Amino acid sequence: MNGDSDEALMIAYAQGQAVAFEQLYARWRQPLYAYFRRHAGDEATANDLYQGCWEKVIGARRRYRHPPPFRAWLFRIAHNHLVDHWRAQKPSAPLPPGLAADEDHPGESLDEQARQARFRAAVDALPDDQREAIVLRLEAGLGVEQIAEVTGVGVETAKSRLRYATRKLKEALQS
Amino acid sequence: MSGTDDPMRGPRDQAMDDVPEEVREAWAKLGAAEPPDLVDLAVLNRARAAVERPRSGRPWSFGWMHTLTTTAVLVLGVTVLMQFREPAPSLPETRPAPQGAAPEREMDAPRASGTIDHELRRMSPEALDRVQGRNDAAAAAAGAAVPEAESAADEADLMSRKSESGEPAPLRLRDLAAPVEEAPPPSPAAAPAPIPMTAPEADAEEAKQAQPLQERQEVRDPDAWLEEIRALFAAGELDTARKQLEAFLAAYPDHPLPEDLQP
Repeated sequence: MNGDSDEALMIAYAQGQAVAFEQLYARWRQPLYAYFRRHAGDEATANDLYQGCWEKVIGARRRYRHPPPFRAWLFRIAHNHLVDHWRAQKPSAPLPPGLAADEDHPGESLDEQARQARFRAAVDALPDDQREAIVLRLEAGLGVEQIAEVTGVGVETAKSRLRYATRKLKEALQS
Repeated sequence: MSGTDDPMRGPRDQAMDDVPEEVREAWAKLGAAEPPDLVDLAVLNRARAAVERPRSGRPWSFGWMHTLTTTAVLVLGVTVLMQFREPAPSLPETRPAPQGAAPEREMDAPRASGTIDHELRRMSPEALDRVQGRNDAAAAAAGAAVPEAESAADEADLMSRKSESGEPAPLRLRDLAAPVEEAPPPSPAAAPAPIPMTAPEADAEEAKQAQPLQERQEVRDPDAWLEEIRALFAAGELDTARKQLEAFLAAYPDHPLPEDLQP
């Protein structure tokens, strides 16, 4: 079962094999958690969103059909879950801040630390959909077409979001 | 996961190395985010519980008792129903009334016109009024029954005319349960070529993207969408409805689908 594709594992789980879900979970827990962690302001919210998303995946297991690829399906559910979360917030609430500092890097020079801090601030300052595009690209490994599919926009829009996000992050590193 | 040899990257992705290496490196230094162990445990337990087979509530050895109880309840129910069932209304009796019976009761039996006239002359004015009132009520009831019968006949006639004229019959559940044809995936060659954006367009796009997602109306309400699909089915636009349903399932894979729209 280790060598099975994500899609085969999901179908096996839908047919009642819990062990298939364990394999799938081991593969996708980190990218999916990172997706929510980069968007949610605090760890507790990220945990709730992450757990809620997996519950939706479990609840929708019988509706999974291949295609689409499992990762696009998974992140589509994650995207919808995140949008629901944003909608539940007050419209006037500030944009969710990005990921807080995870760990210190004592071995790095001050310049490097400052550079990394600027980068982190730039990630935090990205508009939601640009940040989502770059997270889906770098954390989930989705291509532009899959990002477009997951976020429900056209390919050109997805490409544009990714381009803007990349440009801003690059500028933060070079300033 | 995010390497350049990613199998999920399409041909257009391969052509566009979208994220520079320095950004990738800085991103990696943000730190790997891992869910807490307790959350892992909760998700895995939930996943296992979802596919566990429900245990039978009754041991197999009591199966005969269940059958017997069901049969006994059914027999009892039928018996009670038969007991409470009212006898069918009988036709008015035609046998001659006994001598000295009340004049009103005598009017119930059909008689020759001469006999009726004779009887009416013998009746008191109060009895005559009562008889007149009863006749009026009977006439009113008969008058009401006629339009009902006529409307039922009209309805049956309309149905038969509809089926003869080939007009679409009302939608039934089995129509909705017809298999949804899956649209073939778009070929990469058929995809439109990217159009480079001009500077004002790019600025407008960036301004739009800077707007918070929750303030934009691009997210379609799933319940309203389902209502539209249901209306399409009801209007007989089955192809459009099925395509919309397919698009809905792609957009909201986790949204519970109502019973009547299950593919």
